[in-house]
Amino acid sequence: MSKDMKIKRKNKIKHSIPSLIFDSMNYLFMIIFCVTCLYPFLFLVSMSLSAGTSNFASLRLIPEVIDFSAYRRVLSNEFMVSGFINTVIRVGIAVPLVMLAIVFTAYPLSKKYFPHRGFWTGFIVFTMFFSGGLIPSYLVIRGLGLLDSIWALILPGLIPAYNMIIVRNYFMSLSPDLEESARIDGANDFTILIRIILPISAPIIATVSLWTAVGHWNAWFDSMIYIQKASKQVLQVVLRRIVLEGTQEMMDLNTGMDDMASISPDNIKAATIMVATIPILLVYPFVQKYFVKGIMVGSLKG
Amino acid sequence: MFKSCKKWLSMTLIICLLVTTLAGCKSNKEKPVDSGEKANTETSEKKEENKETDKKDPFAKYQPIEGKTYDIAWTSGQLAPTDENAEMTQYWNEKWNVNLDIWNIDSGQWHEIINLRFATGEIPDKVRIIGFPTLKKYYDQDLLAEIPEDLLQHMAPTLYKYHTTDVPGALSYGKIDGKLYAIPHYSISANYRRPVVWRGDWLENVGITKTPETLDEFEEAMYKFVKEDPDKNGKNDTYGLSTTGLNAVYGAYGFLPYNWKTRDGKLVYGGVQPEMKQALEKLSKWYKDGVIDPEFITGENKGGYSHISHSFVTGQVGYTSHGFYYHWRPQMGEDDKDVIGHNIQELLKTTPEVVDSLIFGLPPVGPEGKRGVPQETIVSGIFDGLGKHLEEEPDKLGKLLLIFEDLVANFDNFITARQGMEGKHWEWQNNMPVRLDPYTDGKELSKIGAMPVMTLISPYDYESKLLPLRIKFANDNQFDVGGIREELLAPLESQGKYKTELDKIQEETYVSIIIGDKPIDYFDTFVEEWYKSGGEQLEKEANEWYQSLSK
Amino acid sequence: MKVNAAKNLAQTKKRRENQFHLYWKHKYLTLMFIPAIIYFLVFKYAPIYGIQIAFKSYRFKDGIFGSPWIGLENFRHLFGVKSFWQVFGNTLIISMYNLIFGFPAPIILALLLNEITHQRFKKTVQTISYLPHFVSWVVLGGLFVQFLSPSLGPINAILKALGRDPIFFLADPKWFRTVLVLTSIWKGVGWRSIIYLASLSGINPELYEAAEVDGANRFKKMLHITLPGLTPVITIMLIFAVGGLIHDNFDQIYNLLISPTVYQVGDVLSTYTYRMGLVKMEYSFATAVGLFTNIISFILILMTNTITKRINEYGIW
Repeated sequence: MSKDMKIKRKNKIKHSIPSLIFDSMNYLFMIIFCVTCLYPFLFLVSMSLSAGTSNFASLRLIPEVIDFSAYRRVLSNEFMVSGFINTVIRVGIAVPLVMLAIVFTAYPLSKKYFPHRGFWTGFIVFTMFFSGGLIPSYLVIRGLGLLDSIWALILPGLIPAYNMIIVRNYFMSLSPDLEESARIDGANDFTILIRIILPISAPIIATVSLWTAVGHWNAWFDSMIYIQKASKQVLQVVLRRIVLEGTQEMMDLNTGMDDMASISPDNIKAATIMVATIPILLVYPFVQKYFVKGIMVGSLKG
Repeated sequence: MFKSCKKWLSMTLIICLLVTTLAGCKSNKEKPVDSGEKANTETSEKKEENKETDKKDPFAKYQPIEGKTYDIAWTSGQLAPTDENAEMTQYWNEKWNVNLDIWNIDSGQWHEIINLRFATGEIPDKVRIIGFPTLKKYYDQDLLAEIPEDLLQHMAPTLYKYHTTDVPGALSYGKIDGKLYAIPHYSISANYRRPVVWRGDWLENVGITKTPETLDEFEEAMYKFVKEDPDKNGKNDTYGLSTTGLNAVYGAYGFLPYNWKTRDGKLVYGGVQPEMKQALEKLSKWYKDGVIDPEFITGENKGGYSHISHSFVTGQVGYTSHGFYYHWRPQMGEDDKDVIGHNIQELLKTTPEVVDSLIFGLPPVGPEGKRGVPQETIVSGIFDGLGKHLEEEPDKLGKLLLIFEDLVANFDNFITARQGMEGKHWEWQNNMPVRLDPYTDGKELSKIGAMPVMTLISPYDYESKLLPLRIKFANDNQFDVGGIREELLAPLESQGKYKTELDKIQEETYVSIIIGDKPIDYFDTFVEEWYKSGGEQLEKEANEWYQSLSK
Repeated sequence: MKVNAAKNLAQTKKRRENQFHLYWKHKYLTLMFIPAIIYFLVFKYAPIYGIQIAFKSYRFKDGIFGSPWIGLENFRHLFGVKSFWQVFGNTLIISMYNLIFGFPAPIILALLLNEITHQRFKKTVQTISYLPHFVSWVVLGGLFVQFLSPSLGPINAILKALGRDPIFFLADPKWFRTVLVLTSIWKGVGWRSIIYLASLSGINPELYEAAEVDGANRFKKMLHITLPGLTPVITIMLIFAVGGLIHDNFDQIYNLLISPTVYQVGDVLSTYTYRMGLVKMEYSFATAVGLFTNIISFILILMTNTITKRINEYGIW
């Protein structure tokens, strides 16, 4: 888009009154919406800085005193530290591997000429609805000798069917012209996929990478089952343990030993949540970079 | 379309078949991962010898083999995962000449994870059992070894002695069909009922000088808490009581809505007794008059640690029964290093002056002289059992019983199991064992393999030495008077079928009567429906169990 | 177009008989796809024999194959539960509301964001809007109880200031489902809009410019360019969303369903079976419940897929 066109567009908007009303309402709505979205975060931040004076039962947003001791305690918790490292490693390995697997699965399935395409899609979608459940899955992981290994957390979810379908659909919506011209130049499917398809699929690849990263960051159940060594546990398991401590959900177990247990105060819980959440929040701005208009002019089917 | 569907189907079928056969082959090899596999071969030789000695000494085969290092897989409570080579685990390993394998199981998903490991053939030697229904289930699934009572008495005399004298008859809760399968836990805390806490300053402000003792006095105080501005802030913003406060009213009529209790030699369900109708009538009147906090429906606790009554701590209500006695224990002198009650901790943060004014009273006495608030059951529902495979390895079973004995053989062992080494993890101060930093945090103790990883039962004797102050607090304030206990301590056969439904209609009925959505006479309809929807069957089964207990 | 399609159909029919040589012809694609086949066989199809647990009474010691068959007993148990149909109905009704109001919400948010010209503001809003996705329902549950409280909550404070009676949102059957739907929209809308925002960047800007030249206003552009550009992704998301109708959000409902007064409208399959304590303890029953919901889900997906394919040629298959 050229510069004067942009200016022209802006001018045009300025002149139309309904448009102006719409814009102001839109901005207003967005601001209010953002305030509500920020609220729980600010609440947690405030509580984590409160030196234990406020609790989950208050709605206070501004702490009386600012005190970083909760963070100091959380960051000196060895489980938090090892959990953090394990989770970072997990996400670091999972995202590239999963994306590679997704793309390699989605690309053939996006081609109308790939044999038995319908069957293979069904073959994959079927697994979204029918699974053998926990016991046989555990036996498979144990049989492969993956217990207590990071691969137990990555391999079972290597190709998430849902994400794969989304990527496949995106590939399908791309115009075939690009591919055909490359094929005339003698490129094979690998080259076409990597040189042509992937670059113009940046927004969807970025989105699914974000989903994968967040999914692996937040996953806890698989780790709770497959990882038995405390030092190999992921962050979310540690987080859950701290946050759920003493709450209704843990009640049944605490009977009998609850009297001696020291329950983490709410400011520690809040600080734990913040420490475990902020790093993954920082990923989004990087993803946004790829949401650029006109990144693939003319590459979509009209 | 159809053609492709057919092909699709046939291909799926072929693949499925292929896979299932493959999987089948694999699972044939599925074999319990026995933690004591090494031991197996050795014991077979020993069995031969045993046959002869059996005649002379029936317990001889249970003697552990001298000099043998046993591998012991151990499940128990944890506040945090235990380190791989935890300090206390090493200590016991050396002391007992064993290799302890402490399973780290997250307590948030305990049942799911432990069941998964059982289901895939991994069964520990020492099995922690959480909940009465779980004991029954493990028994039904044939996971537990029998612990003959005379053997327990022989191998673990101290444990047996404490168990049978502290809570006579308690072992029977670990028995099924007369055989002992698990050792029930009990705690001195179960001797104390839920607290009865008054805002003393409020009572004073509304001109009540004597702590209410009867239901009428109780009612008077409740009304004054609403009408006479007890917090003197000039606003009409106080209530008498909230969720847990209701219990005292039910109790004054002799029953608690969710408890089974004996009545004329039979077990009956409190929720359907005619007395509850009277209680509900009173409560619905109170609700109408604004005595009950309307938010009693969502509870007194608003998040975080569940034993804190936020309604009380923030001064919305002047009376509560929330938490246990130790959640209300104030600082008792300067030497007091025990944990201060969490509700007190909260009050100290916001309104410390209230702490001194708190009054711990007795549950109010009803029209027929009855009273009560809930109290814990005599056995807690936590058990320790032994894996079924130990029936084949009597020497190892014996070894475990010796370990059980050693853990409670004397106070030193008990406290070592509970809070680690004296001088390092805790020390004596003024005749009280005080945990040293950072081991004041139970999670740190869990990490080194102490509390609650190695704790079994807690004899009253030991617990009074361990926590003298809180027990003094409870006794001084008569927490041992006026509790009503759940008396049905076993899962019923048809419970799974009916209980959720019955609880649901009861909860709906009680709340809607109190808030006036349903007339008080709806209670009769509810009772009828309760019996019809399975209550009758449950009552029958409860009494069958009750009869079997006295046998 | 139609003639072409017919020709294609004829060709594919001819080819179908001998499609296997195509694997060789597209050997690179085949090569790419083989790992996926292995993956699904090992991790998804190998364990699938576990489904039989739904028809068995699972015994730890006997394993999956050794446990005795009990036929449809688990299903009979599930359907025999007195509240089953009420709970099942609640699940569907709440999901329907979530579909009707919750499904378009992220699309609308994406469209509105698309209209914002101030780039930094837009990016900031995007980033903030996805924050609630990261706060667990355990924390949010407690916050909402406070927020919606009739005595302390700010919403009721406003109502009271306006001279109205406070509403006990979490205990009022008339309001409970609304609360569920609104909170779930609020929590997920930003996160779910990401996929639409990503797809928006794929729309050719030339189309807008052409429309401008034709004098189209913003609303028209949105309707005739932006929305059609999003159709493929909306279709796929819709198919999955319909398939998910039978699944309820346990974490949300469990943390908000604290009042017995709203059981009649808010108790759903997962919370009910959770209270039965069976999901935790009984594999057979849990597998049966899972199988039941998944079969329904599968049927729903197949149906939606067929319908959407009729309407706009997009679909999973």
